[in-house]
Formats: sequence, structure tokens, C-alpha cells
Amino acid sequence: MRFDNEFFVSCFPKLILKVPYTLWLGIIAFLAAFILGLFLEICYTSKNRIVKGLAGIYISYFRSTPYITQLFIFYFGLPQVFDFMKSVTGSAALIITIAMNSSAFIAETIRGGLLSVDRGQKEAGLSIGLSTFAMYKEIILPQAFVAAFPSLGNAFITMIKNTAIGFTIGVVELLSQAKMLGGSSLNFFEAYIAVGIVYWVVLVVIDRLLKMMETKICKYL
Amino acid sequence: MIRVENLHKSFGDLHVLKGIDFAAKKGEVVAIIGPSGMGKSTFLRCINFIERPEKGRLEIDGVRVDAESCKEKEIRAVRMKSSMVFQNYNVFKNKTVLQNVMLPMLSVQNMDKQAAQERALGYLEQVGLMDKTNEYPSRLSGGQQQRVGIARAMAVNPKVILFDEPTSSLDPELVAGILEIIRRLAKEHERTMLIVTHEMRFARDIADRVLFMDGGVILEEGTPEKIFSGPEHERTKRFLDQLK
Repeated sequence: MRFDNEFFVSCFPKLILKVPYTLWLGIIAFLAAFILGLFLEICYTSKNRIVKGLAGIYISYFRSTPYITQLFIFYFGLPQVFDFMKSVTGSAALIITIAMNSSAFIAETIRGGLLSVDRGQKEAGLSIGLSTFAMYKEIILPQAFVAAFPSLGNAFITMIKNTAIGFTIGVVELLSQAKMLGGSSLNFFEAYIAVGIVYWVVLVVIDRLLKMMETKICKYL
Repeated sequence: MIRVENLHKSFGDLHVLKGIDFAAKKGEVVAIIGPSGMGKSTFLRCINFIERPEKGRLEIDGVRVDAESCKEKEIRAVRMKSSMVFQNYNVFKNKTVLQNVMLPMLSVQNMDKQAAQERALGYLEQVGLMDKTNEYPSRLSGGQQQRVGIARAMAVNPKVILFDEPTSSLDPELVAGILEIIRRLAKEHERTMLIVTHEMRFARDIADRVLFMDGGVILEEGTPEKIFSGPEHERTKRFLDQLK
């Protein structure tokens, strides 16, 4: 085959137009996953055995099944049983399932962060008379956040990449755009190479930004 | 100033404190010595309620709590009367030296920032850390971290300071500096001080009174002279002989 340079170059502007939408999907899903993960972690450490058990099952399910299965169950499976779910759009289903999937990982990351604060510092907090609230605000949460930051960054990157699976349910994000460009001209090779490069550049930039933030917030380590 | 009655603490089946009775006056410096694992640290930690005793009464500066029936609020009230210097320093890693010392004043005593900073700098001067006020603990040596620990304990403005083996984790060449700071504090006789230590010469030098703890009780107490020169109990004698 002949590599169609002109078509290859012409793909980029059309693909780059889709970058903000992909980032938007990833950011909304990340924020939702973070809140859900925090809630899960609270449930999982609850003294109520039923609450703890349900959180455990949730985490286990989302960690131990492929993401695409979770998406298909949510988008194609459940609407056959529950009528109201027929009105859920593709992009909403994508965001919700990515968030649910990642929240299980984020819950564990948050736990790791909280556990990273050693007992000695908590005892010192008690010894100077800090209330539980002040202890979390001043000592535990700031240190837990720093400890969890690299893993949270990785979770965010994974989520951006997972948005590509949206093409299987008709969400027009970056990869679907490439598929359509390829399909309309039959230059699949050029289109997919182009989208690969776009993903790569976007994620390298995000990775750099995260590393910069990391050095900034880790200044005390 | 401080009074402890019939204090008991167990960890599972292990009965660590078997009824401690103790009292000290304002400004009194009390050294606690004895074999490892016999409840010295646990005793201090119970006074600060870092460990919760099962039984016993504690009174510091007029605030009384009964271990069997005390509420969170009472525990915090009595906790504010004492502060602790830890074996492993336990400085707050995410705060600078100055912020470590200011925290008890800002978050517990609700002092305004200006006043807290002034007082914190005063404490840091006393422990000789004026050149490190804006450093994070990770950049400090063990001795410097322990100085922060002592300044932070003073910032609580406590009636009683509890020193839990303050030099045991330090490199030998750093021990003298910390002991010197504690010695100076002791000479002020402003605050009551309880010091668990293995530095016998230091204990003899600075203490008004020495307690020998063994088997979860205070086996013997008296002036340093009496304990170190003419202990009554066989076990005290044996312990001191082993150290020679």
C-alpha cells in the first residue's frame, strides 16, 4: 500500500478538535470516581458488617471484571430490565461506568494514603490536644493526599485511555473520530496512526504536568 | 499538681500497670528508671491518654478524670494539661519547624497567628533552632528533630511535660545537647517534669526524685541519693549493678 501523506496530515486538525471532549469525559469521570472512591472507602472501613460487605463486593466486582464487560452490562444489558435506563445516553453511560470502575481502585489508593501517616504522628497530634477534625485537616489528609497523588495521577491517565472504549457504544470521541475518518476514505492505517500519535502527545503532556505538580506538593519529603 | 491513683492498664492478657499511685508538686522533676518492658512508657502514655487506662483516677491542675467513666471532652481537657516528648520525636512531617511549634497554639488554644509565631520563636530560641525555623523535618538530624519535639511540647503550655526516653533514638554524639536542654528546663522549675530515661547519671543530676518501676508497679522511690547510693530493694540494686 501507499502511505497517503496528505490524508494523514489532514487527520490531525479533525482529531485535535476532539481532544477537549475526551479530556472533559476523563475529568468528569475522575471527579466522580474520586468522590465515589472516598465514599466507598468510608463504607469499607465502616463497623456495620452489611455496609462493609457491600462495599467489598462492589470493589471486588469492578476490579476483577474487564471494563468493557461492565460498560456493556450497563449500556446494553440493564436497559432491557429497567425501562428508565433506556434514556441514558452513550456519553453518560461511558462517564458513569469509567467512574464506577476507577472508584474501586481509587478507594484502595485513598486507604493506602491514609495508612501512610505513621502512628507516631497521630499520637503526637493527640498529645498536643488536637481534635479529630483538626488532626485530619492539619496532619492526616495533607500527608495522605501527597502519598496518594502519584497513584491518583495514574488512575486519571488510565481513565483518559478508557474513554476510547466509548466508540463501541457510539460515543464520538477521539478513537471513533479516527474510525470514521478511516472509514470514509478507506485509509485506516493513516487514521489510526494519527489518533495514536494524538493520544500519545496528550498523555505525555498530562504526565509531565502531573510530575510537575508532584514535585511541588512533595516539597517536604 | 499531678495525682494518679490506682492506675491499671492491660494489653490483652498482659497486665502492664498494676495499680500505680503517684503524685508530684509543681516544678518537681521526677526521673523514672527500671528495666525495659515494665510499664514506664505506658505509665507516661496513660497520663497523656494516648493509651487509655482501664481503671484509675488522674488529676492534673484541678482537672479530674476517672478512667472508667470519662467522656471524650474530659479526656481532651486533661490532655491539654500535659504534653509529651517522644522517643521517636514524632514531629509533623508536612509542617516546617516553626509550623510544628505553632500548631498547638493555633489549633488548640486558638491564639492569633502573630502572637503564636512570637511565642514559637521564643521556644525555638530556647532549644537553639533559630537557624532552622523554615526547614521541613526531613532536612533535620535526629537531634534537631527532638529539639522541635521539645519546643512543640512547651508550646502546649502544659503543667506537666512527659519525656519518654527522649535520647534513646539519638546518635551518641547528639545525646548531650538534648540532655542539656532538658537540664535547663528542669532548673527553671516552672513545669512538673516526668522523665523516663536510661541515662542514670543524668537522672541523678537533675531529678528531685527517682522512681524505680518494675513488674507494673512503683517498687521504690526516693531522692537520687537514696536510690543510687542505698537502694532498699534487691531488684533495684540488681538493676543498678547491671548498668555499672
